[in-house]
Amino acid sequence: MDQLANFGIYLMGITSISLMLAISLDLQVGNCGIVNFGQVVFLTVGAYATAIALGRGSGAVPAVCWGVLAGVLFGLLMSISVRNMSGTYWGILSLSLAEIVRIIALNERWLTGGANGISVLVTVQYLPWIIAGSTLAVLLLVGLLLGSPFGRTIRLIREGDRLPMALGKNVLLLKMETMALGGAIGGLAGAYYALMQRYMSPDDAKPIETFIIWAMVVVGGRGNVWGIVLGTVLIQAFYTGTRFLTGLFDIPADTLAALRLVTIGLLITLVTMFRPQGLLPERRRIYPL
Amino acid sequence: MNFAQVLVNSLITASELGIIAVGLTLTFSLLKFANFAHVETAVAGAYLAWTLNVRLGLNFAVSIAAAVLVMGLAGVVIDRLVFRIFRNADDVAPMIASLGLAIAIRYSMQAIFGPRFLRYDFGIAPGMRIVGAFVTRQQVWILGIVLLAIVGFHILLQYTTIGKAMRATSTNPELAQASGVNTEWVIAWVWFLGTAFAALGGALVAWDTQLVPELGFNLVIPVFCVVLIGGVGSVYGALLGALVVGLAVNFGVAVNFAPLANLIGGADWVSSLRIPADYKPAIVYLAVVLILLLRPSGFMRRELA
Repeated sequence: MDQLANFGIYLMGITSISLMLAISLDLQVGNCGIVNFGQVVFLTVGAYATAIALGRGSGAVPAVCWGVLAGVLFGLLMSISVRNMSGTYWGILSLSLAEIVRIIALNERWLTGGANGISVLVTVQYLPWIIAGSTLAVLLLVGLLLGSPFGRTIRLIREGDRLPMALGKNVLLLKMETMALGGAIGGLAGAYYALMQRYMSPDDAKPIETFIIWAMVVVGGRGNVWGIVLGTVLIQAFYTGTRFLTGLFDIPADTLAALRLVTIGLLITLVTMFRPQGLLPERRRIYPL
Repeated sequence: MNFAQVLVNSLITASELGIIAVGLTLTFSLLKFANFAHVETAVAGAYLAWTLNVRLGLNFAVSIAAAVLVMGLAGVVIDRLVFRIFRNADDVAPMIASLGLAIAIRYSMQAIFGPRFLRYDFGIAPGMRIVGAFVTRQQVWILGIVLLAIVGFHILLQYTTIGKAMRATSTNPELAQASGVNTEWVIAWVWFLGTAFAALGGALVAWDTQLVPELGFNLVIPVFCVVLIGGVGSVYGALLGALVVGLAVNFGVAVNFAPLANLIGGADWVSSLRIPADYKPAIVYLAVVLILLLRPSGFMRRELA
């Protein structure tokens, strides 16, 4: 029974981390229209920054701050390139940037431990609860922000640059702010990931992680915070639940893992084709003229 | 550095990337979206050829030809089933759909064939030396086949009715349709040819190296890089782009940059300054980032042919 409770708490922590990454992605894609195919990079830099800081004798709280800072800086770095690029090109660009970071993590052994990864030897009490609490705070903050003039303006940018520009909005600055905020949330998720797994390696930085987060956002409903929560819980439940199928059917574990990803891919395609607004569509407010 | 060897390796890389990129650049310009599933169909073609060749014991050439044909038809089916819905949508929705499809195809291959390396059943012929470069028989064949395919495609594009219709539709779809071109028919042809060429390229890459499910993942950004250098929609631009990428990755890790560094005047004199071979893929990724930042429209005039 104790084991089950522990597993439940662990699951809560992992789902919270996924939810943070999904909220961060939705902020960029669902609200500001920035197609980020390199979302995993925030997890990567956040987790590595935290793990490296802890390895050099930093306390847990400053280490998490380093993770967030790394996310913000990388978000800003990515947003410099966002200027007036179309969605297609930005997708290719962000995927390339994330891969460059992974290759660096794989090869700079002095910093990241290379393919062996980097271990975290610090234990934080009640970590899953802290993570869940932070996720709630992030959710609340993002919800409030999206209801504010800032949220309305970035949703206007999503529909095209020209109208917000004509209204005198600084589109580039707003996109940079969105990416910095997305990076901060993603970096925080990465920091918690390193603390919780007590380990970070380039394997956790692969592009497929990005696309699992995309599945959460696409299935749940872009631009709707509750949709993102639903999508994250559904995909995470599917991911964890199917792990127990190995015992029921006579399928090797790695075949099952591959089939799981086939399902994720098909879900993304089918939802985009037949229900592009997702399970819980964004509620668009209509303003009477 | 063995100059001839690096040059030969560059040519091989270029021909493999070029033949895969041709189909991507065509659908990209005609349907206005980046098809991330394109390279995965290349890998699926390579696996199909392997199944025919090794599992069913067919002749190697027959296996590849059959796989190329079947994948060409599969390309048309994929378009009808998935991408037709997005004809009037923006460029992001079909791209996301193609990404999901890419993941589904890649991991289907992994589920069916497992993560291990596969090789074609092909008698091992001795390699040969050409002006100081070691070349395998496969590589000579690859160069020949790609050259033949390109010439064939050039003739099709320039001298046949369907080729003219393809060029017309790419330049101005509305005008082409008004002039009596059946654009849906042209789109079907483009999918057939593009996917068939991709399958051929995939089989050749797998023949030259090995067949693994991750092959598509290693190819996706390099192939996009080729398309972007050549300019979206330009077949000949893509071939030039493939040459640039092939030369860049192979010479990038072979060249000793020390003389250059000393010339610029670093703090200390260095005798050897090389890009580590592990960073070979990063050269292409960095190139993509720079191209998109500096010249998102590519380096060639945008036109089909």
